[in-house]
Amino acid sequence: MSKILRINTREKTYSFETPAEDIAGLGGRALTSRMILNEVPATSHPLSKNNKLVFAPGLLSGSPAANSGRLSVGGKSPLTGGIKESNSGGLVSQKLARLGIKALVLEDKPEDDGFSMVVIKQDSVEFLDADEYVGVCNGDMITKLWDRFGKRVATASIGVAGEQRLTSASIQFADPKGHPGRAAGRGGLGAVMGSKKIKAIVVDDKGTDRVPLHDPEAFKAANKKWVELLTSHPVSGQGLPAYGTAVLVNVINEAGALPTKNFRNGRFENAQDISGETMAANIEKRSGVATEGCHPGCVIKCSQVYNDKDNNYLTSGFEYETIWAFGAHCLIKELDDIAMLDRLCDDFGLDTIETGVTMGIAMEGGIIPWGDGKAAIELLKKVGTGDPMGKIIGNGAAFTGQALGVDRVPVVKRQALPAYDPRAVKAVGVTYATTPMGADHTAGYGVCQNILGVGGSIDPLKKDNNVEISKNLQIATAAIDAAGLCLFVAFPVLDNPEGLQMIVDMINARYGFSLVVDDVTTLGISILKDELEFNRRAGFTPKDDRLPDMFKEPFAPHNTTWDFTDEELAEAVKF
Amino acid sequence: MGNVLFNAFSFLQKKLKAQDIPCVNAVLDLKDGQRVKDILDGLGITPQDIEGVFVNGKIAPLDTPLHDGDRIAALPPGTPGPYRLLLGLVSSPDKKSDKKKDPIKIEIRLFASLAPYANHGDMDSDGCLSFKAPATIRDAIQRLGVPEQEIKLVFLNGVGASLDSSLKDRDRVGIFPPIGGG
Repeated sequence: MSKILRINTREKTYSFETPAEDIAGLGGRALTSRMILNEVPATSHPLSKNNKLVFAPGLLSGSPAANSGRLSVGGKSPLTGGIKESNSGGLVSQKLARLGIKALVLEDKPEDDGFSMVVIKQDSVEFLDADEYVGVCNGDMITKLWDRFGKRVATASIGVAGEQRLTSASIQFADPKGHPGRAAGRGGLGAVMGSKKIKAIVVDDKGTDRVPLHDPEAFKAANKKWVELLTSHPVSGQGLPAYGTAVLVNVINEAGALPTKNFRNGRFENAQDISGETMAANIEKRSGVATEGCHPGCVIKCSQVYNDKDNNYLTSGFEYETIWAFGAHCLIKELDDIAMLDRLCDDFGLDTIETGVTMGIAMEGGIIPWGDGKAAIELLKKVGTGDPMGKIIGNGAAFTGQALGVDRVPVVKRQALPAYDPRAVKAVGVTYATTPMGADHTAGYGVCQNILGVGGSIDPLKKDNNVEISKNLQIATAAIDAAGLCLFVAFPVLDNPEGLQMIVDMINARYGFSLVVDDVTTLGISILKDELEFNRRAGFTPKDDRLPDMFKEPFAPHNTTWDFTDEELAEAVKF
Repeated sequence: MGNVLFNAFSFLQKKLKAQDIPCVNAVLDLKDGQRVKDILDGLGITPQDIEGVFVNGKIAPLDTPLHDGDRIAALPPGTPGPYRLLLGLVSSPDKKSDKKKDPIKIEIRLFASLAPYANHGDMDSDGCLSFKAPATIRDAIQRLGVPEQEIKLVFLNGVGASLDSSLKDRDRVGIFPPIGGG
């Protein structure tokens, strides 16, 4: 039976606890959101001793199920003031699962300024002094931790941004190659970890057996079909492995939905220069790696290693969102500058979406010129020096917009909008407005199969049906997050009526449950209800489910506006 | 008369570049009455290469007529994102999609030693077979009980094709065994 591992960061003590009945069947985001709702007073200051940081593998993590090694990290967000789940690849999820740890919880906070790290092994949980690592960037952290504790131990660490408790701070995780490219990025959970003075967590599963399966034969049969499903679909089997998520640059630009120059219009004239096609061509020329997975057992392998023009490692996990945020949003067209900005975010531990949008706000505010990649790099480096300007930038788009007197600040619940303009893809706009997470594109992603009871055609430029779609996508996504599955399984599942059943079969075979596909919907809804309840207690009202007024302006090329009423949006959160 | 701006993305961009076919912000001549399909045919792009085509920023059918100054972009299968649904690249499987559910009727001719297979009960008097889309030539020969190893040549609308080629309404298929002699 899996246990909850609680770490008291003030006393430097730990305890293992049997999960209470109401959380025994939960994993991933279902578990983190339920625990945060139950255990963190919703009005707490996110950097205070009352906030908690919960790391939870998903229900399928640690099993042989393909693409099941994702990790959910939950807490009250210092950025939004609401509940947050940040999801990442890396090695932590599977190793926690193999150690029989259902959730790892950081609680309380020390009174002094010394930093520690927590090392978890099969037979021990240790607190070690980490002051010597303060100021060390995440890339070097991983090298040092692998030297000290063994190659390929799982690591979670914060960089200087988390140490300074900046609200864009991420938690970065070692990928299977030891690069720091995986992130629990959104919402400033790195600042929570920094407030508890934990510089790093190491998880070593050496000596553990395989995760037990209730029905190994049934599991194997379902997983076989599952792997076939994932590898035979053109998106998960070909598109993502070849071009990564960056393939979307040209597509979203073509659709006129690529927010350019701080959400002024939907096409960037240099989109081709920062496209996935250009990225793939550079990788090939410079002996990088075009196709790699972010966790063991991934069969989609959408990630990559991008080298500089001297064929040296520059960055990994070079995503569409990052390329848009530092690219079209800032008018930067040099892909290599954008790659350096991604690298700095990995090393300092910063959410690339928030930081990229913030960089555009800095341009809006006249700090650096539009389109100047080199100036953006120099500005971002200030986060690493403790410079007051670095503290402004590291605190995100809303904070920076206020510091510079900017009136176009694209945030919801103080979290920066991602790479799709809400006026050109209206269902995503509904998600931005209504998800408890703040402006978040992944929250309303995923499986519509058997859940989407929408008839008629889906026009991204009109309001019709888009509230319904967003709502159903939010439900489905929450369920995928609870299973520990990579969100990109949604593409093949979207196109195959048996996909969801395979997931249910694997969960049943793992635990001996008797779930049916409808239970997926129920689970997704219960997760959203927990999150909405936390936010309500924290003081959020329907007024917080709005996009800023700047989106009422017509948006070229389709010249649509954001025209949903509060009442229409409220339908997305009625259960 | 006029021009259109043409782009191809992802695998299609790579394929066309390898053939020196302009596909990055390419300005192409547009003749009167041309539709999207005509431009693509002219570039050697087949329907199998495509999952969706943007016309002026919206996914549109291949028979959309074009006008001077239009902007088109061809997308092969493999685009990630919920945008697949939200941009209309795929429809919800629950929704009755016209494209997927309407029956298609194809004319199929079997030659030489394969001719007897045309006596199958499903063939109508015009030598046509009806299917639910999507269907491939392989589906057709399986329906008629033609063993694959007896097939040497496959033609689709007069052009050499394979058993995996997908079929649309009113296609003409020709199937030949190995033919030699003399």
